[in-house]
Amino acid sequence: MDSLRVDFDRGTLRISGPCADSMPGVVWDERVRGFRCAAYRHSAILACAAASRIPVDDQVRPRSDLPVSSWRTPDLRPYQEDALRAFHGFGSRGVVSLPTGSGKTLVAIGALARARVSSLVLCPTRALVEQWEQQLRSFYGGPVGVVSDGIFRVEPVSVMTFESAYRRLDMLGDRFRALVIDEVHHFAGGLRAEALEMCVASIRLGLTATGPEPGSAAEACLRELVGPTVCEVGIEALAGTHLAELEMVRLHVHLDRSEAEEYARLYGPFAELRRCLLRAHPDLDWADMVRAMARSREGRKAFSDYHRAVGLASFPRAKRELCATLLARHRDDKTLVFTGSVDDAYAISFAHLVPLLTAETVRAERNEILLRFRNGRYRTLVSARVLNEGIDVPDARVCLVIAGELDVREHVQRIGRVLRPAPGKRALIYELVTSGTVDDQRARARRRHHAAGSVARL
Amino acid sequence: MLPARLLVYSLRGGELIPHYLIPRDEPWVRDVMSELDSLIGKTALDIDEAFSGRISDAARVARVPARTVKGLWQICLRIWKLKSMAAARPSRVRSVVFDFAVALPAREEALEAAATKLGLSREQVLASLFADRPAARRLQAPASVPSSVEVVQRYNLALLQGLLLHSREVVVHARSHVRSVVRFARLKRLLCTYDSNAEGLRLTLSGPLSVLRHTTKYGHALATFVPSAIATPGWSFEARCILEGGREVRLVSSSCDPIASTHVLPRDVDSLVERHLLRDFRRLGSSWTIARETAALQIGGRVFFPDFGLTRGSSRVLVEIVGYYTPEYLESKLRTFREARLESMIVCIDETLDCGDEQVVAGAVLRYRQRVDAVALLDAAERLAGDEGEGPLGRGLP
Repeated sequence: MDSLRVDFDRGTLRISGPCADSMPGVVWDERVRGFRCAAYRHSAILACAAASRIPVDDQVRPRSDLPVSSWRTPDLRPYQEDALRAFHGFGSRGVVSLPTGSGKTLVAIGALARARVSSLVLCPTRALVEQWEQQLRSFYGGPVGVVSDGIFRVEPVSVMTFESAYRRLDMLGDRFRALVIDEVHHFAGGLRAEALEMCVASIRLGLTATGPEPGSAAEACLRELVGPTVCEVGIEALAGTHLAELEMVRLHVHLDRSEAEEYARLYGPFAELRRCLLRAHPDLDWADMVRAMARSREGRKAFSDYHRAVGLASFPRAKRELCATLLARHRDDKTLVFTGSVDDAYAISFAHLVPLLTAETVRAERNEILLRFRNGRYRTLVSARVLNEGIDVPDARVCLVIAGELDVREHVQRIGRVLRPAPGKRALIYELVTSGTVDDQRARARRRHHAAGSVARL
Repeated sequence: MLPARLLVYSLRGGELIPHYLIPRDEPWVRDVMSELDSLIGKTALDIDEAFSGRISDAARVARVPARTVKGLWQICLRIWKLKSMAAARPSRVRSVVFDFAVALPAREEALEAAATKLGLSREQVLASLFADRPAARRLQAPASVPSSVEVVQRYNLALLQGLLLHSREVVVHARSHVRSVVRFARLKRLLCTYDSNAEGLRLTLSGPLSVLRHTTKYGHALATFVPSAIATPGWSFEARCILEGGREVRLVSSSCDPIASTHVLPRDVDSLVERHLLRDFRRLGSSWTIARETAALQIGGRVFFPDFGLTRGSSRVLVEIVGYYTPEYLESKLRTFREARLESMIVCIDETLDCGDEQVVAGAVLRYRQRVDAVALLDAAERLAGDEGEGPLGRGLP
């Protein structure tokens, strides 16, 4: 009997031979006059061929398994062991949702150490690539490859940014049998999902602090490309034991008279236009509304003014004063300050002469600042978004959330920054909210979301 | 390439029409360039503020959408560059200032201490603190100011490439320099299918994933490939672009469009060996002519361009030079020869390559060391052409 031949071709599989057309996800490609499917279906095709008793000539040969001695298995806490068991129980495919600071990285390293196969870790930022590289070096004896801007060093165990994966996995997608995707929620919208489609890895572990809503499109997307949510643990389950105790303090401020007048002038036309649009089209979502507004000069002006109103509400004079008071009060505590915009982060840094990290900060300076913060030389760090995810800041105790421009994920991730446990530590989170403005609406929306529920229950 | 928010186009049926700038636009383009000249030394933030207030007026005067003016502004800012200017390296200033701020709670004290340590004034310290921020960078005059025609053409190319970022497939009609166009497409790792006719080669470029999903993953490769096609005379292409919402439209462009050619076509010959052969063969003064540009040979799903073509009357012999290559590339070459089974092909192989004559399927095989023997090549060509009437060296030795 002829065999089914499978070849890797730039992020896809070329399938030829008996029943090629009945394999999962396969389509006819007239350009090469052959059958083709996305590379991530490799294991499904092998399983399908095995079930139909079709011999397979598999030309996709990921690097051979690594020597057993290369990996050192980490000591895992009970909930990390549970997560790993659940992951294996679902056929080594799935999403593990654990709070920030609870050691998701160790769960992934545990999974890789047990699998002992060629492995690729994907993460969203360069800073996280460096962090993963260091972590992997602690548990893996061989060289760790890095593919990130300017660096192209591929090894059987490698780390890559999402962007590099999107650009490069058409060349490298056949080299790895295991894939770990840190902050996997980034792929839930389907954006740049090609990165996951172009890799043949059958072992797929997604890590996040904010798992997808059950039954949502995001969950369906991740289920297809990574696997189901196999384990979800909230902050409340670990606070006080494996995470630091925390205290949330919500401080409401008001716009002063001139700010309130300016806010009303800027926000009013947008609010009115939105009311009209929603009256005419009750099902209009945000994106449609923005598109509708962009069609007229008045709409564009209203939308531009709306952004200025948001900026005003995010960091009015009262918040500036409160921020100064809180920074003075916690001068001796390790404090993270999160702002709604990069401009506000610069304003705080300039006013209080505290270091800041933004996407504009170059790598050497960022590493220097983080090192000084870790060893206690700096006590305060300001950021808009860079510190939202992943960067390991072990013992920050105080978190000032000046404003948030993104969604609930951002909020939960930010809170997670100060939850890493330390003896006797009680994390303190200040959320500054400007009453009666869009800033207030956003704060309430954050609290309504399920992912924030565990924070709210504390 | 212009970002999506600055792309100006209209849709007519299923066709996307880019709104290129034309000679009529040059006066207002010159105005924008003069305005930039007047802003030299200002920060990016000041420039943005100065310009954002003028966009509507400029667009109204020019009778173009505001996005066109913004797009042109962005192109100009790639010529008049923004640079960081500070009394001391800003990262060093920050490091010193933040260090003192930890030790000295009063802001002014920390600034004074930092200024002393850095040998700067307090004002210089504050001015340098974030001088490397993109918004704080200052406008510099360009080394040479381009003409408004060049700026217009650069804008048009950036607009076209910005639109091609959203493309999933491009069909190029290349009439000459086909070899370099194909080579550039391969460098971009695009999937190429070919279709040659009397007018040249029709090259369809897309990516493997394109058949499986709507993807703009190959948009960047397609957009950066297109300048190589634009550099050839009489170029034209059609692209299939995906708009927001998944709608697919057609974008047609040709050498009639006012677009800058930024790509430099490669020289006629790539290597020293080829250059020497071309010169040596011409010096022989034989009745054969040697030409670099050869027709594409379609072999299975691939297209193959021999290095040279030798022609005399109706006789034509192809020449391929196999120099230093990786084992995989050599194997791929040999497979091409096997599949092509070309009787009228001479393959010249570097002696140092691990490759026996029996592995090469061709009309004739010549070995060379550093330099191909033009006389031996001519001899082989004569034999392949079956022309016994003329000596191997032809008429008129140099």
